[in-house]
Amino acid sequence: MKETRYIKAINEALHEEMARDETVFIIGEDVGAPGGAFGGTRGLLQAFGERRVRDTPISESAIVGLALGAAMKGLRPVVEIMFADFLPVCMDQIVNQIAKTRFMFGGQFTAPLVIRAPGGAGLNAGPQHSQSLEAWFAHIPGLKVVMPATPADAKGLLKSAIRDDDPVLFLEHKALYATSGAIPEEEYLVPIGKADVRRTGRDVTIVTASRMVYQTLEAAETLAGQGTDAEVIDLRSLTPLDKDAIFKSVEKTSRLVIAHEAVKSFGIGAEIAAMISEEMIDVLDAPIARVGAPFSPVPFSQEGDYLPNASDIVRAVEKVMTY
Amino acid sequence: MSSAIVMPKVGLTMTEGKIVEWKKGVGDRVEKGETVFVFETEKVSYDVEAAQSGFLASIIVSEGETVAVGTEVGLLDQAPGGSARPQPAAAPAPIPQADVSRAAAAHAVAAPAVAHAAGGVSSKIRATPLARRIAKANGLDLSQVAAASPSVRLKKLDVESFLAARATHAQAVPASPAAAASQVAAASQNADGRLVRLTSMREIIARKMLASTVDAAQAYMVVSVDAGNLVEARQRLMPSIEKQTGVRPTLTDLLAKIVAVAIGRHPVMNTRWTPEGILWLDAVHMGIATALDDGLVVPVIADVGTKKLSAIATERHELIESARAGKLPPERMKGSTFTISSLGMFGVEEFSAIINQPESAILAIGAIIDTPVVRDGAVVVRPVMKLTLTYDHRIIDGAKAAAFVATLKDVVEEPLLALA
Repeated sequence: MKETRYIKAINEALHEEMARDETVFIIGEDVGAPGGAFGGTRGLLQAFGERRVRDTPISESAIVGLALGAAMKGLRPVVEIMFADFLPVCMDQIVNQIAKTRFMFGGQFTAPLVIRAPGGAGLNAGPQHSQSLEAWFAHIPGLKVVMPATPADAKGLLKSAIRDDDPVLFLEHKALYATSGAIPEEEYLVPIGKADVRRTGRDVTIVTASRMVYQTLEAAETLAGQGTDAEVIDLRSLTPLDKDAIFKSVEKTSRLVIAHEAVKSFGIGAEIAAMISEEMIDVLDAPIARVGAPFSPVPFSQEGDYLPNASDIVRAVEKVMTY
Repeated sequence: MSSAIVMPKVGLTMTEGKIVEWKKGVGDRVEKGETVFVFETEKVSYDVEAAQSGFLASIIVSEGETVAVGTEVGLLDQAPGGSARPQPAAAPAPIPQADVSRAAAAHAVAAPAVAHAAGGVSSKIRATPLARRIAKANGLDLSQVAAASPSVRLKKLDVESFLAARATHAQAVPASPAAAASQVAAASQNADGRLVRLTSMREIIARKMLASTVDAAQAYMVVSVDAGNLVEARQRLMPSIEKQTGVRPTLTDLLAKIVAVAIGRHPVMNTRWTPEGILWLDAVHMGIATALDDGLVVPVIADVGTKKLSAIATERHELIESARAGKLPPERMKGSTFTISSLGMFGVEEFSAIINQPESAILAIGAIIDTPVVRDGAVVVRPVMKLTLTYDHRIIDGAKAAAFVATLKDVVEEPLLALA
């Protein structure tokens, strides 16, 4: 194992996959000489040349549309969208074209492309550069949506995403770029659609993903001090969702809290809560609680007050435990 | 606007009550404080008074039916012919304030909350989905769990505790009275006769009696005592006590006192078997088995050893009168550490009694009968009484029981020794 930063792990994955498969190419704004807005594509231009590392103007819809055409013709594009907040600019390409390709062509064409985009708040980037929009994309059949929390998962999931024959929206968290974690020295993949139990516990299941994994683990430690043994599930992939992991855990604990950074309303938490209600309500010994941001744009200032944190999770769990 | 009338909880162990009589009919005006219905619990019956005035809108549970504590039994409307739907925020259901001890009152207040919380008749009990599933899997009626649990909302823990308690009980008493009753009911369909549903009291008697024969190692010991001095002592004390209290002391009163003195010299008789060990009790609380028309109760005279005969007589008189009137509060039937049971008035010479759980022994008192006995080589006629001790051999060995019986014989034959 080696200690690696999250952004470096992504960069390593790109290097390795481009070296492994010459159909893999990079396209996006500032991905060439600058190495990406956050350093994700650093060194790729030097290693693989301009033909495979394509710098573009500010033209998100065109970039993504180009990637789709290339993917349909047999290449494996990895698109970088500078901020997940810019994904709405290319929404038609993603939702109406990319996600539908396999289905509308009866499987004769697929769209094996990856769109990388950093989401989330925490860097005071303001309301247009801090959103968590994953629920939108998880709502679209035909897209896979992953959001890794650790450097190891970022690398392993990105490699899997590049090798996947279907389009994958790879949502990085910009506040995690500078964080470090151990990753294996040897080559490895992290499967899409598999959650990871970050902490085992018997009293309550907390389902979370991305940056909130850390807030949740912090909350779990606080709760442990209070005698509540929380199980923490890092989803890693939103679609396909690892229902088995969630169900198995809730079956054990009988209590569920879902914590995400996105606004609480109409979020992933609502979907998971509904699934449990529909399919296994009789395992529940308390209502399901959700932790999410307030229904408001991410503020430029006072971000700390806006973002859900470990204390919010502790409070939600306490409420569930004392129901 | 209407409010639910619920079965109140009037004792710590009360789980259900049987409605004996509705004093009001549907549509009747009910004044606050008026008796709405009468129910019968383990050993007593209660009048439930209206906590507020109104009109009895409906009777949900009919006379003769037994329901769990907290069950809605009727609805009280503010206006005649008003909506019969209970309001979630309705005023507390009537509880018989006068008869309820503070502890019981706390429970009674909790019970209506259960009934009111969900509003509708079909979802009166609040329980988590998991609690419901566990209950269903175990064939449990959630109302039973609700009655036995202090929780406003039943959760997994409540159901599991209930199951655990039931399992413990089932171990102690393999065949529950209810199960036995259903067998009888099944059998009775093919037999000529009359089936009478079990009263709460009958179920308690059955459970307690069976528990003694299953749990305890009952052994017996009989002794004949010369009751001459006892009878004379009563005669001599009677005028003064009757004048003082208006109550005539009975032989049972004297024996309650005398037996307590004997127990004081043999404290092993005043013990209780517990899973953790043998509990040696300080005071002697004397239970006096009392026959009723259709059953039996054991009112308790607390700390009988420290009480004067006049106090014992007065208390015994009160207890038995209220027991016969069906008004004995459950608290007055609890905590006995030793029980005496007399059938002397029926002329029964001797009999053996079943230990009143969780006590360690019980004394059965026979009739005083003039009997030829040999005294100093001559046959004389003496008033002889036979006392039969039933003791739990798990705690009390034969020699200890014999020593107690010997002391008892001494003290009964010479009551003055009680002063020694």
